[in-house]
Amino acid sequence: MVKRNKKGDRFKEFLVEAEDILNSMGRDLLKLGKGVKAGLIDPAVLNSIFRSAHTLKGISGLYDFKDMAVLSHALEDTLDMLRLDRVNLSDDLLGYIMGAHEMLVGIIASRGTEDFTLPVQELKAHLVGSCQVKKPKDDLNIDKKILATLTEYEAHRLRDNLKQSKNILIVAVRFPIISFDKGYAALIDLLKTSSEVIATLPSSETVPEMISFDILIGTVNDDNSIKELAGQIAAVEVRRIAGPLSGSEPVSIKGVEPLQSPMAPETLRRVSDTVRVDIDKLDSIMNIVSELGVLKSSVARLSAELKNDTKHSFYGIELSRIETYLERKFGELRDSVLDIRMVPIGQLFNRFETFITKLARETGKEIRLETTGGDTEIDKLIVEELADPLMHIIRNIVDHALEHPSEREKLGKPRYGTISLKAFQSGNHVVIDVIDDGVGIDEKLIKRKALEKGILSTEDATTLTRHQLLELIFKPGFTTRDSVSSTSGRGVGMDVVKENITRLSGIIDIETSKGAGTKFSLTIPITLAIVQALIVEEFGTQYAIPLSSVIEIAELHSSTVDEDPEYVKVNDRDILYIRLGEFFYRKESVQNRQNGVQNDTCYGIVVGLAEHRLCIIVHKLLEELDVVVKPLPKILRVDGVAGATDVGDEGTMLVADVTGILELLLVGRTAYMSGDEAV
Amino acid sequence: MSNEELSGRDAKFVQSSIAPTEENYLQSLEHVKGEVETLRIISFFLNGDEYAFEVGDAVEVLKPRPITEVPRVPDHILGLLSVRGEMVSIMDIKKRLNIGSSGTNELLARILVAGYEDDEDRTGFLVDGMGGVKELRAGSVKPTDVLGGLLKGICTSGTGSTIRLLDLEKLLNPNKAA
Repeated sequence: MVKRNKKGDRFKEFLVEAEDILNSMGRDLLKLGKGVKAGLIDPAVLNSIFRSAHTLKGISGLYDFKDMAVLSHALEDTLDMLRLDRVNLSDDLLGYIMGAHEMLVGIIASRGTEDFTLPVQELKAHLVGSCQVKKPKDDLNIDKKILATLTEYEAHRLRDNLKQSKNILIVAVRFPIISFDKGYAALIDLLKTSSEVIATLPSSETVPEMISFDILIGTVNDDNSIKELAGQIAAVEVRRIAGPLSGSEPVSIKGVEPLQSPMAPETLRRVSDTVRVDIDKLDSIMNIVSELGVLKSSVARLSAELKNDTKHSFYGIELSRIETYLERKFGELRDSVLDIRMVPIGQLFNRFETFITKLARETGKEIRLETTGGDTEIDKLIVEELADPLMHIIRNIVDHALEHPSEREKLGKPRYGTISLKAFQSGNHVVIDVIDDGVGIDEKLIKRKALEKGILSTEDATTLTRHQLLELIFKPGFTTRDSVSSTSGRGVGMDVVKENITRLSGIIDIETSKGAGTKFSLTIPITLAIVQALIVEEFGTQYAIPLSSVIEIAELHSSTVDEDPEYVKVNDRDILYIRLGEFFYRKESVQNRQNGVQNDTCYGIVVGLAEHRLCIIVHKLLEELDVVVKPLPKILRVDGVAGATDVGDEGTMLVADVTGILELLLVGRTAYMSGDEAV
Repeated sequence: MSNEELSGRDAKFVQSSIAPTEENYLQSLEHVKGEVETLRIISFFLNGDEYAFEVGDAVEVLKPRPITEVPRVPDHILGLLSVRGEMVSIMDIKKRLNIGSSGTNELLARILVAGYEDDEDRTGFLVDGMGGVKELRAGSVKPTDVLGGLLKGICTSGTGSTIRLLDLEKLLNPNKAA
């Protein structure tokens, strides 16, 4: 048996699996909660939660995860009684079930380092204590032979369907043995659209090369319509065994065999062709892809040289043809590796539903979550990095921005506050908007509190622009609260948001309007694993500039650039500029300018993030490369450098951090920001 | 070159290898442990003086390669190198110790890559030449306060020369230096 203190791959796998199960359990619980409010309990949801608890119990036992095993066992028992309709689902019980889910999440999050024995025992007692047992039901007028093959749960579903005056039908079907799993799954899916599938019984009927099933369903439709429906997938026979319209006697099933054959459908439902891959493995593939890219450009250089060589121009042309093909295949390889890393951001949004339900309960506010663009894809690693920043933003909104229901009614707003999460792709970036309809950010309050906390000096306070003022909420230690609440007020959180987003080369913009709400806009690159970069040269040193934020490139003359120390005209627009060499304080660059010795031509690379623009001036453009950006050792982490990348023969090149440079300049040049900030 | 055996407790040190090549360095790491409690160091030269790190701190020795300059870093940081795919900062250890500055032109110059903990960033030190791996009696290192507390101590080699044993942690973290 694998002990939990042995941190092997298998333990990691276990954590991943448990997390997955808990995620889906969380979603189901949410559905269940909504159902309970509406007075409708979907048996399929209840059963799915039961199965999650059951699987969890199984795997936690396997890994000797005691607290989790005990709790999931208790949960399983309670849910089993619920799905068999032996107990009523009271609000208390629902609360404890949700509490158990939350605790399981906590146990997984602690990776077995914390002791949960006491709270688990307490919660277990609550779970058992809240089960109010119902009276047993009358027996059924159904063939005993069928009943005997049904599990207790299936029998319960059968009773329930009869109670709802549904027809109970048996759909007999045969599939070829080699492809029965697909056909079976398709048929079940189809039947589920109009009926409840109560059980699948393997039929004793034997036909060579075929496998037969009897599927027991409950439906409001009659035999013929079901036969027609199922006929889309396979030829079926439909028999009625019970139901309100029926005058017929129960149909017997020929000697059903117990479910012990390895072909039992129960085990086949897990057929899946998904592979789980450690992201580190994908990273190392990315490294190889990047190295291939360097090799590819060497081939390109060689072919260009050969073409110009009169003796070998034939080989040069041939080589360049091959190089074009190589380039195309290389692009496909890079894109498909990237594609593997991409996950829909909806995965992340879903987690906030439970979180918001919890916050709403704690604060007594009514909150609705709206999500759009959940299918927008983004790198798995970035999704994980976004989880905490979004959580802090939402927590702050719930605590500070959304009013209590009564207050909202007085203001003429709906009782429930709405938080919208919107994601959409914009070029090589994903924009995530978090919008609320709360009070908006009170700029005067921010100024006052910042002065009180000593974050802002009195002189600065007078010259502050709106943008800079809003930026204050990202300062460590800033809070507008005098007391600490359980959700926020400690002055940590928003600084973490800023820090995490900056680390992802992202940018945050805030738009707020008093009384109507606030919008946080997070602009994040789709991936950081491999970036297309423009290789530029300044005074003999090469730098990589990520293309993801490049909007346009223009040829400029040094003399025109020098006319204005801050702005340069690119395509008739004035854009703030910086000379890359100068930004990095290379001596030659500064000296060159002082001596007035200039190359006539230089290039303006216009980069943009959200609505911000910056023109980076360089002297030489070399080529485009796919680079893997590697982090620098701590001592080398400086503003404006995102990392470094390998370029053949163990040489390295610095990768410019466009966002970092942009932010430094925005904060530095107040004149640029004042006035035109969006509201 | 043959390795001298550690001959009893009187032997103050054994120089197992002095040839400054990567191969010999690796071989010498496999040198047999002595019976007395010993301290193994890897020594190198700066301005003709012999300095050393504990062997456990050393990761590998490289021949100098072009170093990528990084702007706005402390004066004693030369830039970075990619060592097996990992970005490693390169330190001009002479500047750090305030005893001049290093150059890569010297024929025997090497980059000694070291790191005192697994999860910490590794650093390459540009040195004039490698000495080798030597074994000392653990108690023979005498504390000293020259070089601003960056030394763990001074010891004397079998040939009577002085070896300065550097404190890697303090070298890498300016704040911890006394």
